[in-house]
Amino acid sequence: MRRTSLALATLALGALALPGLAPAHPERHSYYPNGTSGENLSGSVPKYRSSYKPSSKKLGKRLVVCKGSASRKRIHARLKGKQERRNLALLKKCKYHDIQHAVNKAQNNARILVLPGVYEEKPSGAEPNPDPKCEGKYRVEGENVIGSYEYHRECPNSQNLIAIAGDGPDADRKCDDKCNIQIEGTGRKAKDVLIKGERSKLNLIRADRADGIYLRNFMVELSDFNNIYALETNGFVFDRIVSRYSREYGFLTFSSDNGLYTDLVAHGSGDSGIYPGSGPEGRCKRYGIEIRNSDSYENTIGYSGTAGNGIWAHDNKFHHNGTGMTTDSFAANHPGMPQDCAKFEKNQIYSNNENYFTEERDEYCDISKRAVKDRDPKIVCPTFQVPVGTGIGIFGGNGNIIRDNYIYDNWRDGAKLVTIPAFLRGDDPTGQSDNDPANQLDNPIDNAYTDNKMGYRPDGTRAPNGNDFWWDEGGRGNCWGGNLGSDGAPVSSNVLGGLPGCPRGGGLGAPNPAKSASQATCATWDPQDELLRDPPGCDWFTTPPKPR
Amino acid sequence: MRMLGAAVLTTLALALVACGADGGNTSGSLAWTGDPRVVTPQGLPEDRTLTGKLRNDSLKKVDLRSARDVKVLDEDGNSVPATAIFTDTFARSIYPPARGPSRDTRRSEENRIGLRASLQPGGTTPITVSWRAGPGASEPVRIEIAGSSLAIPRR
Repeated sequence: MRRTSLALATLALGALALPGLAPAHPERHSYYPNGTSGENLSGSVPKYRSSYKPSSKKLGKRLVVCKGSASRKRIHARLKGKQERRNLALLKKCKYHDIQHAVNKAQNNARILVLPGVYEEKPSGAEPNPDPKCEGKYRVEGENVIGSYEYHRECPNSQNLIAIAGDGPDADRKCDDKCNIQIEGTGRKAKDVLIKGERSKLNLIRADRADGIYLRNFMVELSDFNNIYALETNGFVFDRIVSRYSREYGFLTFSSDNGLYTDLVAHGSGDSGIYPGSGPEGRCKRYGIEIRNSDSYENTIGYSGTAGNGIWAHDNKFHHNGTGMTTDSFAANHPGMPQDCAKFEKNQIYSNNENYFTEERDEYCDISKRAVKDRDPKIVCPTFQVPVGTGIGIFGGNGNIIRDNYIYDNWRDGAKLVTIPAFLRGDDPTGQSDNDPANQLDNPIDNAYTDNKMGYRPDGTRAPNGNDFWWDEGGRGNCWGGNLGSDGAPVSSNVLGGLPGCPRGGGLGAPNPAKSASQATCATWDPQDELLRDPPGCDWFTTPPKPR
Repeated sequence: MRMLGAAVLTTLALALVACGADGGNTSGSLAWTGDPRVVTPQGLPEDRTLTGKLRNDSLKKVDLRSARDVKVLDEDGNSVPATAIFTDTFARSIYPPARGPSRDTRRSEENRIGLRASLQPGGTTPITVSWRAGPGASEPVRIEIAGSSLAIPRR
């Protein structure tokens, strides 16, 4: 109790020592389409509409995009039978050679069919950033050009290879035109249609207030920030897409709702393969974004979500990343803080021991020695630091359910639960967070780890984690129950007195200072600094030994 | 005059508090409050981490920038490679190190995550300092920060 009081006092005084946060995000402030109360819901997850049926009022107008003879060649080379014939028939209807041109012509409910080919969107690539045509609609902060919504509407290709901006010139932040647009590759496999950036555009596909967007069946690669991006969008689906070699994120959604990520592959991202940030506030009564049947590997993080609220992630594989999954409350300017109410179940979270922080990698990725454009995009250069060898980490979160997952062969920790004092996340200038300066210890609360299979594969073979559960002992109501080790063995943890059971749970309020301090030094990581590439006192960047 | 007298008394009182807190070996406006601890982090037998809390015992605001202001010194006054941060847990910027914001924004972010701190008179901040102590490495004995010298406790 005394320790709790002392730590609380430290945190409160620490908060006083740190001034408020200036508005600072490489993106404009954004707002939830359905507010934060969880009531008065609108919108829904869009449904797929067949590509092959012609234009109709019900199915929407069809616009066909192709690369002329190159598409013909690819169709012959890659498709057979009915699929080949259908694509050749569509080729005759092709009127657009760049996807953005079709988007520009599209009205609500349009279906944009993209025939096999490589789409580099050269006209978009030529647009400057910032674009003087949109003077007054952006601001520059250091290296970042931060556009307003109007900037992206009026200069759509300044930062985006393909942009779908659906809100007309009014103040309601709701989609008016370019709503319910479906963009679908017509190949047999995702890779038959390749949307290819050069790491010069921040985003390859940006859906901005583009309610009802449905993206399906293509491969996308080489963005400078996000390969696929949805912002302030009510209703979206990403379906059967392969996203690779983004400098930061494979798939990213932010302040969006009624979404589905399904059957995706994400790899080679400098940050996360899949990132549902500032997820919808369902207050643990609904999950506004579903992520399923996806495979995320060889990224710095397989899945991450700052303020990743209201997410239901199930039946996915997060493996061979630096860290498999994280959700957190430690970055500023994210609506929906503190993070709460995600449900992770029936996932396989394994072998997350890829070390992108070795001396050799640090040297390769040092931006002072090699510009981003000169990097081999297949080599992951991490944009943030993670504890290599970790399955799933919750860094400040509440009401999360981690249930019935296979968590194995993560050489550091299978699952990690960390307290993040509220002042460390700064302010939310949009007023969409539950920030109470008097309550610095507002996490982790009521997280439940139940019925997880720890340290063995689905086939039953043993593949231990270095340690199954790591907890700094902070918060309250956190519980562990029904988790099993290989052959029914008890799970391991770093809590000497044992983990509190469910449903009651436990927590000391403030974290155990020895445990939280062991993480603090890792915050100083800086790949541009020889000492701070591998800061003393931080073990995150050393691959743990394979557990026996 | 009366105000000046009160200020002098306050300064003396604070100085006494500072001496009492660390039993000496401290000079300057910053002092340990409570006992700093030095531990060997799990899995890093050659590293040491000091955790403690600093208090500004002066009558002026003190601005701290960890990477530049904090020096860890051995008995001969040689600098030992070290890192410092003004938090007691992990924090993260929203900006990757290689994608910088403006100077003002960077400064505000550094304050938020504990890479900087501003201490008002009487204000405190947690501090975590780490260094390598492998074979052949010097044993650090004190930390110099913003004109203050603070003893590192022997383990």
